[in-house]
Amino acid sequence: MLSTQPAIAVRGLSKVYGRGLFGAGGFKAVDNVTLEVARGQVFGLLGPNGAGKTTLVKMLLGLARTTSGDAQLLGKTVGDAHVRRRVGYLPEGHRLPAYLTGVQMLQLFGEMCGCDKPYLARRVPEVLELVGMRDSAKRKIREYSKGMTQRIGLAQAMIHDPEVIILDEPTDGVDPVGRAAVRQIVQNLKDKGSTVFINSHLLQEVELVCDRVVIMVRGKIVREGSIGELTPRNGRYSFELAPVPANLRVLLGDLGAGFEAHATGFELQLNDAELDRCVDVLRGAGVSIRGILARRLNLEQAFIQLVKSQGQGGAQ
Amino acid sequence: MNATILRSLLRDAYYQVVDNLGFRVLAVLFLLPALFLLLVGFREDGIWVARYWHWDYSEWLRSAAPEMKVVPEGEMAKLRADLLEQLVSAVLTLADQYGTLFGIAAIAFFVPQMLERGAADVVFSKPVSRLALLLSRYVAGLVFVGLLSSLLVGGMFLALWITSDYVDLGLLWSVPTLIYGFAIFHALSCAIGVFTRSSIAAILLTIVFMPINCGMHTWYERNSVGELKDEARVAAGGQPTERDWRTRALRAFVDVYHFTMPKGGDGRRIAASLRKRIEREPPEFADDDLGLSIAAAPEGFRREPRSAFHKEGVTWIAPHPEGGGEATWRFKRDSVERVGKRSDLVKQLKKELNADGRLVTISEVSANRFEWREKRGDEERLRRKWVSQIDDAILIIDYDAEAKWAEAAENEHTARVFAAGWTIQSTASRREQAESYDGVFAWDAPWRFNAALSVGTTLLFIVGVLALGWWKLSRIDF
Repeated sequence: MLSTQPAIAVRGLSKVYGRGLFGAGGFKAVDNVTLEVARGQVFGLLGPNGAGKTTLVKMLLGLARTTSGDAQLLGKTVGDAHVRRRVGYLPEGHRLPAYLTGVQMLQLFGEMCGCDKPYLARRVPEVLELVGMRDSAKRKIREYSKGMTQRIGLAQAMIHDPEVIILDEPTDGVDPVGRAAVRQIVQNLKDKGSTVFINSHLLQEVELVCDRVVIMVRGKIVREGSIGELTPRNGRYSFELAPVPANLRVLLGDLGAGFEAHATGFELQLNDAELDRCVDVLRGAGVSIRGILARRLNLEQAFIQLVKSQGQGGAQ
Repeated sequence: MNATILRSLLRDAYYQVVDNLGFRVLAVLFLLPALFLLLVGFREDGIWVARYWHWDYSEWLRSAAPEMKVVPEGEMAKLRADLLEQLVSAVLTLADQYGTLFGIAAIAFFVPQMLERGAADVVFSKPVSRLALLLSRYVAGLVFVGLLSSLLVGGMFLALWITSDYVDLGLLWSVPTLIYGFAIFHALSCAIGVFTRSSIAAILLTIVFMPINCGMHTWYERNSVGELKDEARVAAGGQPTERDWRTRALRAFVDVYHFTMPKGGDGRRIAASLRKRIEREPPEFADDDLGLSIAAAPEGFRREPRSAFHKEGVTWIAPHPEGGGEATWRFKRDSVERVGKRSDLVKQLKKELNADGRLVTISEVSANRFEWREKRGDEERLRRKWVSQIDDAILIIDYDAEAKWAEAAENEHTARVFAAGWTIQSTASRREQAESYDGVFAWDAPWRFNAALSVGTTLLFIVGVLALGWWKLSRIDF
């Protein structure tokens, strides 16, 4: 029976670094964060540099202690060693034991997660295949390129088939083909019912794979929602016409703003009333409208707008 | 932590060690003594190099004492044992001092590297406690030195056995001793590594601590020996040494340091005593007052305590194949007060035998040796007498054998082997031993020289230092 408990539940979580002897002062890296990640969801965490994303992840894994608030992973308080057995983690800029080969490292981390030998004998080649590292598995990690290190790092996060997998910049240093492979892996994990928590600055990647996104700025959550909710319509409409009349601009007169013609039609900023009038004008002139598409902001545009509105530049 | 996790941590420790360049370099260096001992054999008949060049011990002994016509076999065996002992001791001392130093330098990065950003995130996110991870790195260090010690000691043991036909089981005690000494400084290095997260700091601070710690314990040992001498002086009716409050405070500080800090040097003392216990079987006869010990007598000899050593003496009898006329060695202890000084006895013997005695040494003390023949019935007897004085005691060894039997080469050889097993420790040497830290340090000694206390407080230090490291590690936010 599937649990209805969220995979990750955070309530009023804060982290203050460098507090004085009596708890005064310090830098608030995470400020009263509350969020929930449902099981089976692909969840994206976005924010500019220094927003507190990595600190939040580290608190979830027990790598950093919480100052206040409550955080639970799979229904258990974070820091519990047993619950970490059910979580996979790929940190940003990770450093794997250079003295081990890829296979040895996977066996080591698999065993550290409590996996037995027969399971690992089957699982190690499977995971290596999944990340495309089968041919280099017997080389020492110190001989790997950055992309290979990233891929083997992803493999170690998945070796014990975790219920929750936290990926911090999973496509960092990976070429476009590798990135597509990572996207596919995330999709496979989702199809299998795993929960994936992605912290990435590659907004297009996040937009492509995440069901739900949270944007953090200065330690606080400033926006949360689905990709659709975070990328609202921007009021621009794209018209597909057949044929495109030569006097199109004259025909539209002063309707809307930001006219842009393209090979099969045009794009224009319109309000609802202007949209109706525009359709009437085109139909009145005998132009066939093959399609109208309401344009949205992409995640990157939405993110930049949001961060600028919070008075902080530089995206991560 | 289950068995799978424990196994994985141990395997990781092993992989980390064998991949280490420092380990490989030290492994080669640590194999060199074994290679040398495989090439050069210290056999009973002399030194053999590559089983081709041979150098007889007797040549060496004769060059040192040209007047010596026949080199007693016991002397050659003693020379061989001394050579091997010195060689092995020198190698083990070098390994202990420089091996620990280089070992610390080679592996001090284990803990700081584990705590580096990126590495710590991966490792500490696994379902393994921070204590287990710290201990795994500590164990990795012990594996490092354990493998190297086994290579060094095991290699020398096998090489001595193969090439020199010399089996020294006691030598194997050096493996745990080397690990013991290293375990102390490695624990400190791990703890410093946790606090500073710097390999350089871990190496430097540990290396600085090593001579300071050694110096403080040496200071304590000198103070303790001084106190022993003081006690002996007071017992003899003398006055104790007066010390001002500064000296007393300083000595108290040194005492506190000694009893709380690790004592790696004691490990060597314990190993040496264990080695001696294995190496040397208890003597067949010993008189502690005189410092006399007689090792196992040759096969076929029987001992007959006629009454007591200080009365009629203790006699060893070598049976004569034709019955009767047995060869006897009688050891008798007497006193200057009763029989006079050694010089008086020697004068008397010279006069009686009309012969000069030869001055010889029985291990550490000198003796006058007389040899003469006498007729007893039809038999001609060979007689030898050794006279020695140890403080107020007189030791007389009387040898009486049928001359023809005694002069047979094999019986002469047996007699020499028997004589080589006689040891008399000089009074000065015994006094020195009784008043030295090494001499009084034992499992059943008073607390200030007690081996169990030394090991206990050292292990407590290791546990304490690692606990401190764990406390700090549990508070680190990665």
